[in-house]
Amino acid sequence: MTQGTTTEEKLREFVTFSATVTGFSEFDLWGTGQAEAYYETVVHQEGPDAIQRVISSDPAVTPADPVVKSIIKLWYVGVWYGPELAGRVDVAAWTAPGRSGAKPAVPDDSQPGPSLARRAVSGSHQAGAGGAHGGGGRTPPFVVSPEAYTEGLLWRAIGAHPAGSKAPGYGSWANPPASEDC
Amino acid sequence: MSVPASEPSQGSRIQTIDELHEYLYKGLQLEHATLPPYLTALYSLQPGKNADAWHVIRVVAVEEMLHLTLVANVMNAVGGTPDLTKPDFVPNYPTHLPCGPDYFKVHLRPFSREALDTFLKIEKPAQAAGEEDRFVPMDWAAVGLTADGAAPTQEKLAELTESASVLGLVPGEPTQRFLSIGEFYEEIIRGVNHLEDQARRAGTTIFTGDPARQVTPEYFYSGGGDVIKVTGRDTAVAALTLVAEQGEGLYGGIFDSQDEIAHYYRFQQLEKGRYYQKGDDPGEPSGPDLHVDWGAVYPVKPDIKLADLAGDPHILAAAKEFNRSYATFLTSLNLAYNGQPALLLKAVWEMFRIRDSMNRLIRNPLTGHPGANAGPTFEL
Repeated sequence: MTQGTTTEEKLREFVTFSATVTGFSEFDLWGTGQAEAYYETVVHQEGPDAIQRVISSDPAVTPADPVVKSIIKLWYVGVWYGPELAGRVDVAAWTAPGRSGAKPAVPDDSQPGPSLARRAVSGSHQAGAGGAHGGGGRTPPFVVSPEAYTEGLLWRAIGAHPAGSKAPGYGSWANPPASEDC
Repeated sequence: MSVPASEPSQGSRIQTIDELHEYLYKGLQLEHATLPPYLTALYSLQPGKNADAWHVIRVVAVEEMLHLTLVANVMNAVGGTPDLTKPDFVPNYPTHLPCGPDYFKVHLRPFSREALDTFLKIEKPAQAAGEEDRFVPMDWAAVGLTADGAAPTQEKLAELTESASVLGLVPGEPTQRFLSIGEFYEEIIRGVNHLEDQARRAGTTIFTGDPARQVTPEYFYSGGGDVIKVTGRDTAVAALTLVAEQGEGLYGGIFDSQDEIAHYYRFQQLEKGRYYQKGDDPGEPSGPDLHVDWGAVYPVKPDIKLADLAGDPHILAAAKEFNRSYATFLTSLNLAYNGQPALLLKAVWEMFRIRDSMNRLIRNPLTGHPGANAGPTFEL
């Protein structure tokens, strides 16, 4: 078996597993065009065995492997939240101020890690560019790619379109959102 | 294509208003037939990686939609009834277009050098050297649509002339075809002039259509040329001329009369890796560099059919759903072209949803065909 085939099979396994945990079909997940980028992101952030580990973990066990939560968030919002951040409700508030330079919306003492405020939120953390695994450092949340934002499942889940992208057409706002049977 | 508005002595094969309507229907079929190939190539580009190619193909596709609307306006102006919902309106790809002595196939396929070569052929039709070269006997063997190249049976011929799978046949005389699509439009312009001259001598006009059926600029926004309201000979010729020259440029120049770069030269920029700028000669763009990443493309299975999707039930379901929504879209568009132009605004929303559905299909790898991705089949 060639290396290429192996990678392709692993990618397919990742998408199959992601369909189970996100509630969207494999068709929808491939349809985002982000499958490869997300697969690479998980591998680079959590190590080459991380995906196999979560796939073979017992779904009945709670709490689940924290990487599962990271993967779900990744598909929904296109942002990688490391397992240590994925469950925190305050982290989302950190991502916007990091960009705009505005004051964080949460108190300083809830800062998830010392590196977070200093490091850029996106750009240098493209899939495959410098993983956290092995380095021991904590990676701040980052947007995987410009397309990851527009392809987030959350938009389809709420029947909306990403602001500033995928325009639905002049006057379409007069209609109810397109409801999908997900 | 040079299309002088008033050269009275040129013969016209179009002798009746019904024949003109038939030609214009074929024009609608032709303009539409370019869209699925352009859209398939456009959405095969991986997001974020081929911005130059994306913009070039997108502009051309949008202008083909303008052409469809312009032909519909001419049809309505001369009392015709556009019908985009006939069973054979959409070709079973590949479709065939004439180009000089040969026919060439137009496939649904991903962006590639071969696809670009086809696009260049679509947009620069050969021009006849003289009157006698404008029509060519139909060579069915060359098109390969009949067994062993024999002339089709009457039944098969009727089917082929109705369908959009062989374009450029002479309506009413399918043993002949036009040398090129440029000559096809030339014939329509001659027909308009001939019939209108005849009508005026009798104190009437062929422009009897209800002006309320015209799609006017307030219903059409695209940024790629203006829609023309057709109310008489001048506007009809202007609309048909725009259709022809947006493809290949005014009198073969880089720019058309609305100062837009002609489609042929837009595509040539991708081939040459450089943009045109004002003052350039054809074939020698001297503008900024343009980058094409030929590899950053989803490998859509060429001329994909529903039958190819048996092994992928989810994709099959989505492809069927796409075909249904495309048929619905054509129905909306048809209503817009038949007296309810305001419905064009609603058709735009449908277009955006169609775009999203196409993207999803194209990004899905097939399990039954390793290395190939799905795509819209356009089997309506």
